[in-house]
Amino acid sequence: MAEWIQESLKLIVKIVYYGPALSGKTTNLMRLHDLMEGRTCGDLMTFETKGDRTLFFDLLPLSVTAPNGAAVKFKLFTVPGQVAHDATRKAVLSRADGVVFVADSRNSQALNNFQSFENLEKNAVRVGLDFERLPLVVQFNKRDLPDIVAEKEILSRWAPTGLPITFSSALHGKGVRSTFKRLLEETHRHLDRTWGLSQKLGIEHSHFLSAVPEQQRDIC
Amino acid sequence: MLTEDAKIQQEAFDREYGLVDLLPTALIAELAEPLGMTASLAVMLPDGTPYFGRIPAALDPVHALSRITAENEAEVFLFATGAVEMAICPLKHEMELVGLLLLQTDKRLAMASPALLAKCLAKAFTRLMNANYREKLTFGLHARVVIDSYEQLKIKAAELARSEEMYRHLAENLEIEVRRKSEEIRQTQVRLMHQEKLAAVGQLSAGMAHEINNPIGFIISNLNSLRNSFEAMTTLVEEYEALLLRLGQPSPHHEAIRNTLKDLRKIEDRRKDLDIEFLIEDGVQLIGESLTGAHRIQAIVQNLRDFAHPSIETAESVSLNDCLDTTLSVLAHQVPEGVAINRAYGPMPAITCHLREINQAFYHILHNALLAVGDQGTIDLRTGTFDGQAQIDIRDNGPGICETDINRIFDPFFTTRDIGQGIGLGLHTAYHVVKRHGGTIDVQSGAGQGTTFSIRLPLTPSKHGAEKHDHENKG
Repeated sequence: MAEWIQESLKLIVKIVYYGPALSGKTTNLMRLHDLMEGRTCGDLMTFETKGDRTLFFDLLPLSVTAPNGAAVKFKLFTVPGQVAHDATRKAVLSRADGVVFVADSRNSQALNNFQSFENLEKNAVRVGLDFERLPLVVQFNKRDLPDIVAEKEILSRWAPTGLPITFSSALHGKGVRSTFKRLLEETHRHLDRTWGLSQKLGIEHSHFLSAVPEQQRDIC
Repeated sequence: MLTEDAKIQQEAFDREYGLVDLLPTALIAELAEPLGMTASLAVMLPDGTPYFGRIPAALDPVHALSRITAENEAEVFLFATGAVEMAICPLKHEMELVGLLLLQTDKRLAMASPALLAKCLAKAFTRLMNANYREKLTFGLHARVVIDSYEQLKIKAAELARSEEMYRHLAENLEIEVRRKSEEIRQTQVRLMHQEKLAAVGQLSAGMAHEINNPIGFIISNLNSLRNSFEAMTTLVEEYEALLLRLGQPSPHHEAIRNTLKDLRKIEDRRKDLDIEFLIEDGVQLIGESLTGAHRIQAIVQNLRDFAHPSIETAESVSLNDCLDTTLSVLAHQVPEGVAINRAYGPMPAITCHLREINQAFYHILHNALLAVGDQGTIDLRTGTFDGQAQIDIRDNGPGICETDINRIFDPFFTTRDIGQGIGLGLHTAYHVVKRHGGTIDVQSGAGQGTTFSIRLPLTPSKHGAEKHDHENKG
């Protein structure tokens, strides 16, 4: 749930990168951090254990200021993907304003993707999020690997959900930006509808999107 | 480590943390302590509110802030008033200005540049804040996870307790229910066995009546004939008596003798008509037959007594060959003409058993054999002793028992007959009788091969079996 701090004219927006273990959630944040200029982006805080497994979460703070002086602070979290850390996942997911579901494109990971998505749905309900209305973008990562599910098949398979689908190769910085941009669009639309972001706080769609790094930096 | 730092945040771990959370005044005091009198350290919030230490009156917070905001990237600002030098460093957390560090030094006390010192301190503070931030985030998250896991555990425990309670309840009820049902079945079984016994006795009575009726019939008929014959003989004797009376009376002789002769001739004629020799002969025969019939009745009644007399409950010494004969005579009316019963009795010592029960067991097996053969067939009975046991084989050449039924024939209520023709307790009863006597009962059969029941009974009764039987009788 986004938080408005009147004294400091600051809006806090929580974004959560969800998905199965080792699907590239942390890599998404690392690449975003690399793409950002230091001014809008703070340090990336990670808690990783052996083999790049996230233990608690990763946190990347981003901040943009609207012309009227209101600041929008995005807190980008990742959840630990391992099945055993469900309680942590649930705690990190709570109060999320938008979710990027990072799926692993490889054929072998279809079941893990499915189980993790089911887990997201279950935990969203448990922490009191309206899953039907929650801004959600599904990112199919690792497009650079062989033996992956074809884009066409993914699109047709996910079409009934009506969810926006993006494709990425986070390790190479591809699709990270567009996924984030897509989620910010969805999140602004949702918060505008429920909170009146533009009307009451003067925080426009474009202000949200100014948190997205420049286009040319996305192409590596 | 200060105690307040260790307080675990139980509210949302991902909330906004301020200077109060990340850089408690006590921590600043601890860090400032070594400076002693050489410098004075203060921290104020971005809006100019004092946070720690004494803000020098000479400093205009608004002016200082405006400079810092304008030169956002700068790390340190210097202000000097007389002998006092002051360095101000912005304190940042997550890109945001969260406070200002103020360090005052007196020029007269020779020491390192306040700017360097302030920068050094500010860096340390920033690091501290980051460390605290990490700690608070993780502590908070961990606390949430622990609380959540504990809640989940409590829910699971409650669920388990509930289901355990349910199963316990179910198990208790199940035991009661099973006991109730068992009792019900036992009572039904007892009732049905009693009914079966009554039915057997009833059938027996019908057989007996039939058996008794035949001799009784010809006895009555013979006696009627005998009565008529003797009425005629009585007339004859009366006429002889009348003649004798007349001969004894005084009368004119010629006339009297003539008449007497006439009468004697008449009597002679009648005697020829009656064939008195035949009457006497026939009378003897009739009486003989009647006696035979009466003996048969006597024998049947004796058999009935032996078979079903309710008073015979104690074990006694009997010959199993006699038992077979007694039972067969009871069943005699059910043996059709086309059925041959071959007895191949071997020597059989008397054994101690409950006569009535053994007869009942034989009755049920023989009855089954008779039903199996129908109107035409053979039943072979073979007895003898084998390996210290009495063995009785009852074999029929009926259609046999099919494979699927053979394991169930001794089960209570198993029957292949039509409804109302038998309730399936006969062989069950036979099985239990033999078992109670410490014996075994085996069956060999197959479709189209006939059936052989082999009963083996110990020649000396088993103590256990006898005791058990006594107990059951008492119950």
